[in-house]
Amino acid sequence: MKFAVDWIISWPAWMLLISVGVTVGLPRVPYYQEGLPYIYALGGVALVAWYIGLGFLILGLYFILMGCMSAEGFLSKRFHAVFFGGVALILAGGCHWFYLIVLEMSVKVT
Amino acid sequence: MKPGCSQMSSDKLSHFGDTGHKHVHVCWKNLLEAFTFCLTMTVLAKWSTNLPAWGDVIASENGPVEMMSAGVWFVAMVWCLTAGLRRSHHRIEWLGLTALCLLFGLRELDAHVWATGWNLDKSANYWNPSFPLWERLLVIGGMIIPVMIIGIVLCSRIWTRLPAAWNSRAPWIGQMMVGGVLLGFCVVVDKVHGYYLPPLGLEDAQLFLMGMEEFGEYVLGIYTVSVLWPYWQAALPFHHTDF
Repeated sequence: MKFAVDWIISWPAWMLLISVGVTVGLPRVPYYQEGLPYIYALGGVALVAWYIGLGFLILGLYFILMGCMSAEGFLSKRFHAVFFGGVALILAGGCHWFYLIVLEMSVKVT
Repeated sequence: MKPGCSQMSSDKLSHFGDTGHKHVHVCWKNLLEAFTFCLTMTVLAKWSTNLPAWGDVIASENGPVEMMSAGVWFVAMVWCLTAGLRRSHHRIEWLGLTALCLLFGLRELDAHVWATGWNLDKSANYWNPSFPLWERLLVIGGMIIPVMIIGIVLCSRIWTRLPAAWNSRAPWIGQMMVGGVLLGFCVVVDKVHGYYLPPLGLEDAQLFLMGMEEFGEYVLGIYTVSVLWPYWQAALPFHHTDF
């Protein structure tokens, strides 16, 4: 159990999540396989937004997990961490929404 | 640069090695960890993407290694931004690092190429009249000048703290030295494979050096994260949690 907790609070666990997000998640994102960012006029902007969204997603998951795992008894502190995590996840969703909206608005330049 | 260090407990400082020696400790451990991690992720990327050749995984533009490398910089950017907004004590350092990570991520995604269609690595392009003036101004004003300003601000703040840090054998001196060497390695390999091998008739080595450059950039990103990780934890709300 201690090994698992040590792993979760270490950087490799969260960097592993980036690798999974980029190699498994990104190719499955709408429009990506069509050739971002060279096919769409605003494809590059959308791609950057997706990456920033990935950052917020990982930050949010980290905050929520740390908030839930904290052994300190202060409920307000746990709530504080989980609240920040929720805000980060909402921002991650906003970035992904922006990605889709930008690509729907964008024209193909081929 | 010592963001959040005053908040760190002694056990977290021990991640950076023994600082009680008479010499500044060079943290090869972080570099070794980053190298091992990147090697593992590259093997897993080859397995998960089913790409036929190692060159497609490591040395190709927009390949898995380059995409993972960009992801590391953007995630680091978000974490530095959060630490900067959270901590007022070292806000300038954190926000400077935020901008640097963003620019490194944009550079990794070749933002200058899809935004303008030409390569900012060739400084001759800056005054090449065949490229529109607004594109040259965008690259110079949006990437080159910001990097220079951030570099000057961070270097001046590091310089003022260096004597005291040197006397106390602060671990960040060794960390920055290793990071600087790694960055220099990536820049040199990038220039060598791009501009100097073809005139020498060594095109065959180009793919190998390109792979080394992409992998080196990935290691640099992960190394940066491994070094900044305790500082981030010190700056975030639950830095002294007891698990």
